[in-house]
Amino acid sequence: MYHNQAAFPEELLQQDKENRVDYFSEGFLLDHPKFDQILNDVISRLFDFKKYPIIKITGPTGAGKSVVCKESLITCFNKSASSMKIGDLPAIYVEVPALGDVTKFPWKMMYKEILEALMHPPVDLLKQAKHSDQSKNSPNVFSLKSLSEDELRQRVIERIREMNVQVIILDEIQHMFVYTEANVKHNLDVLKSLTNISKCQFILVGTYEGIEKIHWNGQNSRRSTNLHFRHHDLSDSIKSKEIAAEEYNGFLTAYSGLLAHVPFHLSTELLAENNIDEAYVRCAGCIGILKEMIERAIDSMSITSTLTPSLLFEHSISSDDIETIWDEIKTGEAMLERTSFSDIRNRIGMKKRKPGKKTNKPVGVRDPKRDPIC
Amino acid sequence: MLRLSHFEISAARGNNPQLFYLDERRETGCESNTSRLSRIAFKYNIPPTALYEHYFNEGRSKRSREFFNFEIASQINSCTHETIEFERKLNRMCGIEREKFYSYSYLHSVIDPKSHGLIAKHKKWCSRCYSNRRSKFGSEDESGCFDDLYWSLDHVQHCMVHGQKLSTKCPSCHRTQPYVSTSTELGYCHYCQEFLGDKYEASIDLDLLDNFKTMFTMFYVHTYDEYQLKSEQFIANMKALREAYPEATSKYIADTIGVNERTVRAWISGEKRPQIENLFAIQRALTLFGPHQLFYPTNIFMKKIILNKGLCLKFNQLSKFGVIVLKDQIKAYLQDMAAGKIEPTSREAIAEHFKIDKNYLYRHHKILCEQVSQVYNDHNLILREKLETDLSYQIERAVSDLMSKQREPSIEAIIRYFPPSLIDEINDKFTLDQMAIRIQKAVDNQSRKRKAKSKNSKYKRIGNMAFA
Repeated sequence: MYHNQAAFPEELLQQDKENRVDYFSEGFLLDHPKFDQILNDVISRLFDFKKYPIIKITGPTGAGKSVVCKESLITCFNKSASSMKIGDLPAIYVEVPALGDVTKFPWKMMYKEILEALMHPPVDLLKQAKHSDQSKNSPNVFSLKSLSEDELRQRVIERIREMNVQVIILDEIQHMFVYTEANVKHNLDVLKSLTNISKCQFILVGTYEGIEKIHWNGQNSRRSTNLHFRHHDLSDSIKSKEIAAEEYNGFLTAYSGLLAHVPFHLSTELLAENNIDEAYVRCAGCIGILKEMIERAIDSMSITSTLTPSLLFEHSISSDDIETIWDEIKTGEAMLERTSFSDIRNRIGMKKRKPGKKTNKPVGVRDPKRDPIC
Repeated sequence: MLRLSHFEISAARGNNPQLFYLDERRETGCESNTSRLSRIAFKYNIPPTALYEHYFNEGRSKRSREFFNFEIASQINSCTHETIEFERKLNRMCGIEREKFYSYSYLHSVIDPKSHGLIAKHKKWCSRCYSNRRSKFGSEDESGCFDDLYWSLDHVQHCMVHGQKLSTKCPSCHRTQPYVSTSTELGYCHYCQEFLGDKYEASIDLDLLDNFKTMFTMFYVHTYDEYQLKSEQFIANMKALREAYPEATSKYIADTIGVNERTVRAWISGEKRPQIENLFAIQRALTLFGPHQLFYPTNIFMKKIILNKGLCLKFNQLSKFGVIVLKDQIKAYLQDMAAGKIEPTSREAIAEHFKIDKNYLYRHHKILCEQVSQVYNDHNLILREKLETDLSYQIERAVSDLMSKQREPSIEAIIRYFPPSLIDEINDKFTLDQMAIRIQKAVDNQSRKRKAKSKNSKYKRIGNMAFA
């Protein structure tokens, strides 16, 4: 049997397996409370450069950050449709390149990526053109030298202005923070400077990796807004029962919602409580990982077979990998929440306020008095 | 998948981002493609050689530097197939959707497709224009100079804005310049890097400049919409020429402009298209003011030739263009009459003058006829007023009336006929004797007329008697 509230188009059932799997991998966007919340948070802050020049979206791998990016991108185009001139590009998406054997983040490569995303002519073609002598009236003359980092940065800013770009989404931003702490600090400064000069809103999207090295300076902190895309937390550590129920329902909605888009027969066992728990453990509460797991499972199935819990869990990622993801989540969340205002009070030397004495005595009744000693 | 999705989203909304953003610069005519190429190169830091090879010469051999001296202009500023292809590509890269010309590609269907002799061998420029453009558009990052398309035309030697001779050599090192410098910014010498707009040339006088402007109208792109040059029009005009002037055979034209008769026949049959040099030669032979007139609608073209009267060939009055001539002659005659250059006459008289029906005249020149009628009426009125103020006429009229009524033409009786203004004038200017002499003359005159009519001279000496 199919899902009770099947959400896939009926005509898919007449089509072959590849089309069904393609539909499941790319044909729909799953709304779930956490996703909606983070997307609304981003959308409400778009195009407000003065208040939100930098928006950071942090979350575990597979939480759905890239989907948020894509949806934000579409929203940018929709929002600026009326004011957009021919040739304008209101928003761009750039993936920060990951480069191994280097000691500091290669900004030249980064600028190259941005220029490519801005449809700029290939950087390899560019050569320096400078005034032939000191006077401003002298002509620009080409040399054989390639553009320096500063010149590339200038080109990026000019191109942003030319194309009237207002939002730049930088995905996989953690690749920028895997270097030395000093370099990370420098990278943050460059980002801040780029934001200020280009008057362009930056949305930085990344995982918890290298997060311990990110120490925004005061200026950057003031300018940036943090949005934490959490995983679904079904652990027993949540003290509030309401929050725990909310988290469970959220995960269940997403899990069931995904199964509703599976154009194959499903076993009723999939929604049994123990299997929901097992699915949660194997996806670390991240809907992206869960979706990939289902996608792999249905890809291995024939068109007539049924998706069972055992088949589903067979295609989950290995326990070692899941453990790593869980560790990252715990470390990342701990890093993000390590500082509280009471810690700050301690650090700046303010005394802790003494809590008042608790008493059950009604107001207006005097304390008992000792009897005089005879 | 997500990587370039902003382009996909943009394309889905029908807004394709462009590769190059180049501001539009235009003064007289338009900017040339070589100039655009040079400006793009310096704006985006791509050397012209690399720019051309990467975007416009895919998969073909590398271009040498000499290519940028002249060959590039003959390829991208002229009207060859390569020009059209290049222009379309560059326009698309610059986000120009509609057909817009930065070369002579709009002449592709009109002149020799290899465009022999169209583009000058060396780059030309107006130093005054360069100087103005540098101060108007220049900044620290760019010179602000750009080249007009018509500067690259071999026949044009003067700036159409300032009238000064176009420069061909650097004022400092005296070397000719490439159309696209591979190293130096536009407006500066490729070799010594000195500014090319420092030395002004002498200007020609304004009348001559106006003549040049008319002669080279065809090469200003902004007039393209107005003229819409078509080779079919040229062919139709050449055939019409033969009809109006039977002696204007292919042989005659060929002899006049110095080409083979077969070549002219090939032009008229549409088999070949004339070179730009030949278009100028035909225009000169037909006493026109510019080659663009060869592509006028046939009626206008023939009118220009017939009314110029520069062609020493027998005109065929019986051809359909005879009417055009007559129409124009009548029009000119009526215009002259309305302007007072000719004494106005009645419509009947004009129709008789041209041996046409007066209704035909009115039908074809309604407005002019009405103007002439007005002028003619005014003219008659003036004549009548003049007569009114004429003393002899008044006396004669009075005498005639009195004699008709068989009354004595005494001074008192005659004066009663005069308008008051005339009486004042008589009192001022004439004595009684003078008046008597005039009256006597009038009486004699009237008597003679009446005698001639009825041989009756009853009142022959009555004037004398009255005077006595």
